[in-house]
Amino acid sequence: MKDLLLEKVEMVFSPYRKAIAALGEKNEKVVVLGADLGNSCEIDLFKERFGERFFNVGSAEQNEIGCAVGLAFEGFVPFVHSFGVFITRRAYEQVCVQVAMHKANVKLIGMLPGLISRLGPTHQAIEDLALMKTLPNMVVIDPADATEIEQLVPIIAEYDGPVYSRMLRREVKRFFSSEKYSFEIGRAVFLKKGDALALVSTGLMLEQAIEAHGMLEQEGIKATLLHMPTIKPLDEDALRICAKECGAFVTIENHLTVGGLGSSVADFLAQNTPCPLEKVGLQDTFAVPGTPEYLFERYHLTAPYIVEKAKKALARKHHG
Amino acid sequence: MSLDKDFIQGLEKKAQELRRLLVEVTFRTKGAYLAQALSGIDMMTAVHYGFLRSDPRNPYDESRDRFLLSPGHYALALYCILADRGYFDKELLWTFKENGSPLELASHRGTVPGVEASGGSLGQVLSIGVGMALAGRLKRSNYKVFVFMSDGEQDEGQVWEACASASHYKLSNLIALIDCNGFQVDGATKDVMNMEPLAEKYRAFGFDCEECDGNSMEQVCQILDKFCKADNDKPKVLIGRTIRGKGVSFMEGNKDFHYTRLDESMRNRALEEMFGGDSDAL
Repeated sequence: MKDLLLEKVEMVFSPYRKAIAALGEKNEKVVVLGADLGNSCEIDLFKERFGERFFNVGSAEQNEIGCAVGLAFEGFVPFVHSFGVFITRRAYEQVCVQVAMHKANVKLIGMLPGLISRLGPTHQAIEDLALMKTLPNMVVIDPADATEIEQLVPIIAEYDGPVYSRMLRREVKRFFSSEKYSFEIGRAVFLKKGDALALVSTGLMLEQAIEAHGMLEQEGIKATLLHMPTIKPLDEDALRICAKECGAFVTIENHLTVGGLGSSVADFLAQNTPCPLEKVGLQDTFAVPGTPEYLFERYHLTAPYIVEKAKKALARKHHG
Repeated sequence: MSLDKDFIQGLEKKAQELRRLLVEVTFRTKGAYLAQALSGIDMMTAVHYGFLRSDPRNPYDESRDRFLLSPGHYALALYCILADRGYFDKELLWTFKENGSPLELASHRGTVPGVEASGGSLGQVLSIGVGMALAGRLKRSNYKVFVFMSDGEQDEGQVWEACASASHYKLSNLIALIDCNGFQVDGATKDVMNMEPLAEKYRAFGFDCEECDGNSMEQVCQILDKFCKADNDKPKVLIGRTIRGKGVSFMEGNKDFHYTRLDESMRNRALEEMFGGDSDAL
């Protein structure tokens, strides 16, 4: 279990750029669509190598989705790129009606998830998981590190159906051992086991979750750490185990606390095995522009706040 | 493809048969977007029976020409054509929009063979056509993609995004048709949202654009023939000026017929106008 995490975190530059180009080499059916953000979405290497299968539609996301669906109807596997905000908010009806309703084999790749962009609310995808999760047929993924990115790209290409995946770019940390870790759609991974409570994290919140886990351990609180890269379908078996063994939860996400991981977990627990749950994430507000470090602190997404929520969940567990 | 008189007259006769079928289905199934179907049926007939390379016995053949209906409200016109051509059992027409019937009020891909797009939400299907045209090029296939649109949906911004990309990628295998019957839900298009001059807009977007009487089989066929033979790298658009409810005098240009229910006397009047006393016309 412990082995999945590397002893020392590595830094990888642009893992997606290499992964999507490698996929293009392996699978001739893969086509890439961009909306004027080629470099920003790290699809420039694919374009360089497979120009015929690369289509820039300009900054026109609604048409980008439509073109991708037409290509998918004809047997291609389109990877559609933009920032998470534009691909979900701006083209929502097209994604709903053309992609989800037809179960079209389209892969939506959303860059700059959550509080990553310095451009502020127009560029911060804080509700993308919620928007995509509510669509029937849609698989929703929030990867944590370079290893997950490298592994998920060929896996979602093989999966026959619509996928929305958040994507990390440029300097991306590697937490998972490439040899020992294996990403599967819909599977959560136990990184630590404890019986006090379960920390359930998704996406790049893994780093804060690991840190918070360590802080709790120093105080003698043994928590389970469950990493959940797939928001939908939800790994209900893993949650059932956590509920049975721990009986209290903290969910941790780079997203609004409404509609994302926390809501999915709450929904499952309420209907199956009710127990205390505290959510870490952006609390019903738009964020200001700023560096991720500043924003994570300002909006209480860092390890000390996770610890605080963990203690609250524990208190509720013990005192009802 | 010869454009001799027999060819045109054969298509004209077919369009009249289909009009009769449209009236009959509307009457028997208690309502349809009949006025729209009647305005667009000539252009749809011209494409499906005159120019579209497709085989009802092999509806998913890779090399077929694609026909995409964008305004799903015209579904009944497409269903009548598909049933008549043998894509599915004609008896199915009498189940139109019944609960559980594949023949839904707006057409959706995946319901019956020959329906290749979903058009309930307006302005989205030209983009699908662009994607299919790009796919045809990648597959080194010479199929054409016909996209049938309405004038009302020209209001949608996505239509123009799609136009820009069709032209940018020089999609000469894309042929759009617009049924300009001059009406949308809230009234005359010129009053609700005037998109004229439409032809100049399409030309400015880089289309090979022709305008004609969209209820004239001869004019429509001449333009489609020219488009299919054209040796240029432009996407094509036929702007057909049509009359809503064409063929039924009390419906023609009448804004009260957005969604149409026909009672028996209206149905008899419509058929009498179309065919006189000729009961063999069907």
